[in-house]
Amino acid sequence: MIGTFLKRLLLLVLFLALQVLVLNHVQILGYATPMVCVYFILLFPLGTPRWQILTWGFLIGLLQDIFTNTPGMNAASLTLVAMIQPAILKTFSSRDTEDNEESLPPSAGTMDWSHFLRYVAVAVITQQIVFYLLEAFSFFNLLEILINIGGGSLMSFFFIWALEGVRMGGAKKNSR
Amino acid sequence: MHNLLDFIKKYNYWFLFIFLEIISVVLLFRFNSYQGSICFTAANEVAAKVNTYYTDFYHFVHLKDVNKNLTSQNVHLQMQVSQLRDVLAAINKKETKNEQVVNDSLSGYTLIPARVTSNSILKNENYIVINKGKEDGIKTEMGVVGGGGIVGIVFLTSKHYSLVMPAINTKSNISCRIRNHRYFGYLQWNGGSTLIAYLNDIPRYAKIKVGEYVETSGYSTVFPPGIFVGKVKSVANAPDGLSLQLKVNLGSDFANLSDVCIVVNKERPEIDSLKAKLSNYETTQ
Repeated sequence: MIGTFLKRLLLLVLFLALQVLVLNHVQILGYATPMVCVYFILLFPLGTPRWQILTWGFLIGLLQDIFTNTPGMNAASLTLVAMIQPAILKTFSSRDTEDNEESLPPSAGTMDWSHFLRYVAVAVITQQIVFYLLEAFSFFNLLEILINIGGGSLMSFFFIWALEGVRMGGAKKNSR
Repeated sequence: MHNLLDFIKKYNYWFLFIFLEIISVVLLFRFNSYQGSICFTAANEVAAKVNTYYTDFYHFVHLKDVNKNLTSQNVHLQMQVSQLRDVLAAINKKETKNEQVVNDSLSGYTLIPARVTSNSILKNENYIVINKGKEDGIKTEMGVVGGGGIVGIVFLTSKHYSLVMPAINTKSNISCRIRNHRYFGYLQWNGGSTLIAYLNDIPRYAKIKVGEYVETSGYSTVFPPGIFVGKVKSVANAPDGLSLQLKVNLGSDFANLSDVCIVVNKERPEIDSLKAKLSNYETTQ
């Protein structure tokens, strides 16, 4: 119990550092900034109590907000993703793995790549839409908001794909 | 009663979800007016420390470029100084009228150098964090100037750090005039490119040419008059059709900001106390 907590805390610090120190400085044509904190929420296994997922999601969002001067925007969007995470995970995980591997964190290994990537895409797009709508808080500049959402979603998606690839590579090496 | 408790137990996460979302939205709305929210911004000590380490590292990596720039600037300035010395010697030894004016306008001001610890240019509401705060004498609504011209206005201060609202924040509103004209207007930014802002409220009969200089007007106590802001890029009618809207090429490169100065107006307390007296007088009437 304490072990998983410390592991989560370490992961949170790692993701936050990656986001704040590296990825916030990535901007392609001034629009697409990858946000990988969603990935942290996506790693919770199916059996986790929902209040835990919510609290972790809110916490990582709030900390990211403090570093980037976007009060409440990341917190709100990541809490929403934490709320829908169990539902989308249930939708995309295949039946036979659900029973015996419930306590394992979802990954491309336990779900297979196509399911996992669809799972990531839904979460990322939800988060980006909520974040940019809260940032603009109007539909006045609709085109710019859409470009922001599209660019941000694509970048975040590919970064999470890459991170998952690294994680899978590490897992393979360990099993050999 | 038992059913109710069961219901709450079963759906406790819904209440938590709504509670957390409400906190987020409150933060979102409160930030603008609530001055005490300093602990939720990058000007708080821990966040600023982390960002300081990052920028220290960044500066260290880019020392070579900085050095090159400084050297070229130095040579350029030395050349200019020698040229100007010749010109000055050629005219006469008396202090010119122009120098008197410049000295007078800057006599009430001191400059505090500071370094940018974190910066954003992507959002509509961009903020800059600098490494000087209350203990260094920084107060809110002081002007911030960089090498390329004005940068912005101090928005919040903590002990050792302050949050600056740059000219490229949609809420920023800086009084500016055109050099050698009497017309003045307000510099505003509409998002998008960080190189371009708009000068509004210039009267339609003003004859303004592309390439003229925009400078601070000095009508507020924030900036002294005559500090460079940018150059006029194009002239067009404002959307309301009552005034001109000038497209201004900003002098500061906000994407690449590192060293800035804060302008401290020594006469500011005097002016503020006068204004306070005026408002007292008006309320008693």
